[in-house]
Amino acid sequence: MALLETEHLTIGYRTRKGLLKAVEDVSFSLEKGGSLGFVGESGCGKTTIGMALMGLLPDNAKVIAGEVRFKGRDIFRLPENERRQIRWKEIAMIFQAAMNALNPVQRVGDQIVEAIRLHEPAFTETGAKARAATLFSLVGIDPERLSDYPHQYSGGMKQRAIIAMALACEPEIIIADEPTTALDVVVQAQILREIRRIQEELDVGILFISHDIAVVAEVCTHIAVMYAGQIVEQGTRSEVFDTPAHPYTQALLNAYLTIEEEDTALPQALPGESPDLTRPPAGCRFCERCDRALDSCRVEQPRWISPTPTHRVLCCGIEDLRHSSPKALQGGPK
Amino acid sequence: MTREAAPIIELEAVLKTYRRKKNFLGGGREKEVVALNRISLSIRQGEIFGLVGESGSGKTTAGRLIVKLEEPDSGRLIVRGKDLADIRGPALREFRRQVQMIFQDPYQSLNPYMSVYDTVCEPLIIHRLVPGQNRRQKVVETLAQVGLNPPEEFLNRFPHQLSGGQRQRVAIARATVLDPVFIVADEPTSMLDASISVQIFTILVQLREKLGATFLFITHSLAAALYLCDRIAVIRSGEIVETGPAKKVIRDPQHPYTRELIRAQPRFRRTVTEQESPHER
Repeated sequence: MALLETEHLTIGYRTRKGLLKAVEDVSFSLEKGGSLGFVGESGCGKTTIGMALMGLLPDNAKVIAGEVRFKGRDIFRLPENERRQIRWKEIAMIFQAAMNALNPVQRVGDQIVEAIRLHEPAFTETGAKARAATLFSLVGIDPERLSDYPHQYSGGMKQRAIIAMALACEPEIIIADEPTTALDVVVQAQILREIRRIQEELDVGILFISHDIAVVAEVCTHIAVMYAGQIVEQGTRSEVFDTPAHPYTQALLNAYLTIEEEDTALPQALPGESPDLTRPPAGCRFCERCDRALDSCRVEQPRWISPTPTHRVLCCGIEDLRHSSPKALQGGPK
Repeated sequence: MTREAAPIIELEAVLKTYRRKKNFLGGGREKEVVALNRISLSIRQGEIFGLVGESGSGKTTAGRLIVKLEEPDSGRLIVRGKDLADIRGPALREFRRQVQMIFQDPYQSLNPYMSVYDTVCEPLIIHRLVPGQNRRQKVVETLAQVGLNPPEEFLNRFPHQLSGGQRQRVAIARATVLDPVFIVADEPTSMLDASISVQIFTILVQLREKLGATFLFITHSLAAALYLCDRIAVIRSGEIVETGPAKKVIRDPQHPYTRELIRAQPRFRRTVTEQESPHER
């Protein structure tokens, strides 16, 4: 049994324009100590999934269908007090730009001690302080800096402190939502290295959410590509990034500018924008932007196709996929 | 293509400092922050020049000085051989037409109470360039040029009815409706998704061809600079550490900081090197 299993998860927001299904029929699982990266562009639903797992959806959002089992228990059916036991203690989250959420008038160490003692009342003040020092060493900050205030930290150190806080109760899963997006690239590289190291050392599972495919590729062994509320391609890092099969994955890889590229002519831009999810298209959600769309794609729901047991693609325009060699699939990426 | 072209804008030992109160209640000694420490650079006619740096490096300040949103403390900005400080009156008005800026955040740079038509038309009215009866035509043409098609459908929309990519297109239309010769683009895609960024970059390249304009492209992304720019300068803490043709600087960096930036770029096919990172103090 996987540590976390999500099946057919569908989440809607009530909006003035009607029900918006931000997440639709999303299924994935995470093994103990595994890493799964959700990648997609703004509005694709990746943050909503993280919030749903934490039980932190806003008031106008609702889980419409599906279930999420953590260690076999459906967390949406648990009473709130049991839900709270899971939140932070077993599943913790690092939010985007969370470093700005540190209390500016309280020492960073005190904030961590408070978090530890709130969730683990058995800890004494001294014990919690020692734990905070251990956590700081783990995330690469000198424990002496625990007595500093947040403004004495750089952006990267604040983000490390937030990671330390997420680790405070030794969770089994960390959901990291764009944890490095607000940071400069040099600091980002350090933090990503740190996350990888901690993940290995503590054997903690990671759900990593990012719009940046290279960042996800650095941290995660498994990848889910999302478009307009749905997972459109899922597999190992190598399956999704080396042999991408969905036209959107290929376009996403194609649009990613990298300094490794020899040919520096701008790639062909993917035309158009994501659909309005209050009025989703009848057929495939990507077909309006897809250069391989068939007439049937506009009206028929796309189906899952599995090139390998671990790789699946939501597309009906690539029926012959199983018969083509992986090499032939490399349309977009370089 | 523009190797031999004459400089259109030059910065000579430009110094810019900001003063800020040391104490957040407004008291205390004033602290000086050097945003640009006597930088010199020269941008040639017709090129896309990239200014690459991380947050706080001074790259946006350089852009704001060039469009004369701010004044340098010392040093000179030279526009086609003339000191910008000496450009006044009608000549300054003409400078303000010819030099335009595209800002980073299209959610903040557009007036939420102005329609797309009013936003793009306003510069034409201010500069009295196009006679009233032809303005609508000019606005429609400019919107088509930035890929807002069909333009008529966008004229009466307001910013909240547009996506981020569409907003940035409107901002580019507003900056280009006056047929400028020099455009400062300050991180024009940092708020946008990768697929939309490529659309915007494509428009900038097309605009250079159509208008023959020169661009200063301000970015934190070495990759974007590599694809878009003829020459780049790498800036750190208000100082330019390295400058040269984009490909040469990125393929064969000379300065340790440029090398560090390149090493830190996330990449796909790199085998993960495990090394202990030093404690941050």
